[in-house]
Amino acid sequence: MTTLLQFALAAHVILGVIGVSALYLTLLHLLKKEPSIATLKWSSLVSFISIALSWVLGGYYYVVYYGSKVKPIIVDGAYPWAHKIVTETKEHIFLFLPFVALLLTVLVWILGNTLKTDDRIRRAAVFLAAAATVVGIAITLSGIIISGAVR
Amino acid sequence: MTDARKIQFVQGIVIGGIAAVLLVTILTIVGDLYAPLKTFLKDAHHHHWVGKGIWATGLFLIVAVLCFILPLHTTPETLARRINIFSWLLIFASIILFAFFVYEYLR
Repeated sequence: MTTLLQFALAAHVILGVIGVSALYLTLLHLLKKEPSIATLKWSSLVSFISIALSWVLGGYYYVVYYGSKVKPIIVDGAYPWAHKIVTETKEHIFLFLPFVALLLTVLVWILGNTLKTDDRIRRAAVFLAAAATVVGIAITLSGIIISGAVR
Repeated sequence: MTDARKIQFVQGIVIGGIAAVLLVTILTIVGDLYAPLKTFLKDAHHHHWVGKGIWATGLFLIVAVLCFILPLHTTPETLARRINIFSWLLIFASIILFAFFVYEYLR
């Protein structure tokens, strides 16, 4: 593996964890009685940028290296389901997250004051942030399973 | 931007996101069941996964822009309902894809 690929792999993991953590922080602040719009703006923006960058870097590693070098090891090893179920699911549901993170960011930045006054929109934002956090955690755990299957 | 236009802008992002998630889910399942589609995505974009990302992003942008420029009346209540639909879609699409790949592995 080249240095660039090692960097892409490590960065996609770190950025992914930062992104999901920022989603969780966004959720926690949306649940507050008096949410801080300033904090929400930064947590949602960090989540979107981190997830988008993780998408690009992870995608580079996946397309250039994983398919030809890692996938055969997993598929021919003791845990072929780690690729055929876990990687396949992960690579596709990850495509959902940038759009979700973008929506949360836009919602907070454009309708931040409405979030404080309109309970319907705030509850909807809470539900979205919660769903995205759970999906993000599932994706992170999938990555751990895939790494384990390679070893 | 007026409040009404702000809500319409956010609604565009919601509906664009719904369209993107639906497209990825459909392309993934149909692509695995109908090889020529997956081959087409791979030939056009070097890798089928890259193709799905590009198409999803393209559809998202088109739908989001259309929803913003068309005279669609939106209330905060409608926006909240659509965000909830997006959340449920996120959950169900994730479960459906997982179940699909389990099915493909076991069959």
